[in-house]
Amino acid sequence: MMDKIEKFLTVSLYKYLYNQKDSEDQIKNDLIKERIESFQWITLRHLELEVTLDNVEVATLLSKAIQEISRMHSSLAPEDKLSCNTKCCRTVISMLQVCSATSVNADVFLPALIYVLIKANPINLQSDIQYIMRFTNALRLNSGEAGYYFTNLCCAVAFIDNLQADQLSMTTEEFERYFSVLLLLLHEVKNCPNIFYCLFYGSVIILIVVDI
Amino acid sequence: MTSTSKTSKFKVVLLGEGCVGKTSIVLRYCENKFNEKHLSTLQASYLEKKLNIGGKRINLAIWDTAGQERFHALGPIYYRESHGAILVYDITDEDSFMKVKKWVKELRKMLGNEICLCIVGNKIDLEKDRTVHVTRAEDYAQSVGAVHFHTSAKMNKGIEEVFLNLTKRMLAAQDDNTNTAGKQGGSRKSVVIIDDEPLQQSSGCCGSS
Repeated sequence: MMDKIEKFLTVSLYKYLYNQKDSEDQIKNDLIKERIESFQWITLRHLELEVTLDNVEVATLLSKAIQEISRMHSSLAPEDKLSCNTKCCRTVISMLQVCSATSVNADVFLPALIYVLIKANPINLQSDIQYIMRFTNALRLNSGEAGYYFTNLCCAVAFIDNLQADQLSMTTEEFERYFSVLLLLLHEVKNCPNIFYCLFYGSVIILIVVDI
Repeated sequence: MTSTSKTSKFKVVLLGEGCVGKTSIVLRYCENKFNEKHLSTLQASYLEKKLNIGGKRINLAIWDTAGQERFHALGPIYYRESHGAILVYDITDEDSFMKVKKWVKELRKMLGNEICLCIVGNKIDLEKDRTVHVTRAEDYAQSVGAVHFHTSAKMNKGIEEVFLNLTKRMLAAQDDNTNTAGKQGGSRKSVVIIDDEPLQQSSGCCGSS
């Protein structure tokens, strides 16, 4: 009953409850989005994950997980947003189960979720997390499978927020080089109409330049 | 009060470095499996176990945490609202014991004496390679108000006892809380109103917006 009321109220009042313009959350949304964008060079190896993306099944599950988490912002009720995250996390676990010879524990699950989050770079991430925390029954967030997965989502965001070189099995020098080159590139891409598209594939950057 | 007929729900966090065997322990307990071929089809990051102790129904939710050093700072996000913690080290690996000490400090700092702790020395099947001495580990556990256990997930030794002891202590802590708080019926749904406390606490309600 409480859940139904919660859903009804949050959906009807969505535009008042969710993310006001120029709010702190909105600023944080843009910051996280930009930060994740600058981390597109991160590979599975940096996170010490042994996932073989050549495997069709693995690749399919990875893109499904990315889709699920990207859908979060378009759901209205906190419960539905939460369920997008749960579906994403379950898919991540299925993906790991295909690759792994041992059981899937948090030591592999969290880095895999971080990877999915980086590749998905969902919009309004901060707003969604805050909205779920503010308008979901606290009991649901601290217990149950959905609560566990939501906690992992928060962990993944916190990790990306504070990411340093030593957490990626690389030297500070390498890290800064990657990071600064990418920030510069992103800036260039924004300002230069000639660069049509910028792709990051592992550590290779592909620029498509259109001559106008 | 209807608390005896209600199911008590407890959140237990599982902490331990990569190779100490924390996953084996929890899989052994919840699924009674070890090193079997179909183990890879299991997921061990979040597990639930139903128990019945003295007529009381209990539901344990076991939250695995990423044990690598790089994720250390995320600990507090996992610990929130935990009733118990199981800290696993490998008796042949001194470093894994030092790591347990670090976690204990953090848990006590964040959750005080509210959280029940079990420290588990795993891999006693490798007793001959032991580097963490029994008395040292037990004395340490006692000094921080934790209970120490020795287990072997491989030989299925001592695991049941860890969870049983932890659950009994969590139940006792819950009963203590019920008695002191009076109105709190063991469920986290209820709101505790303390009259002589002028501090306003945010109640997780939507009042702030």
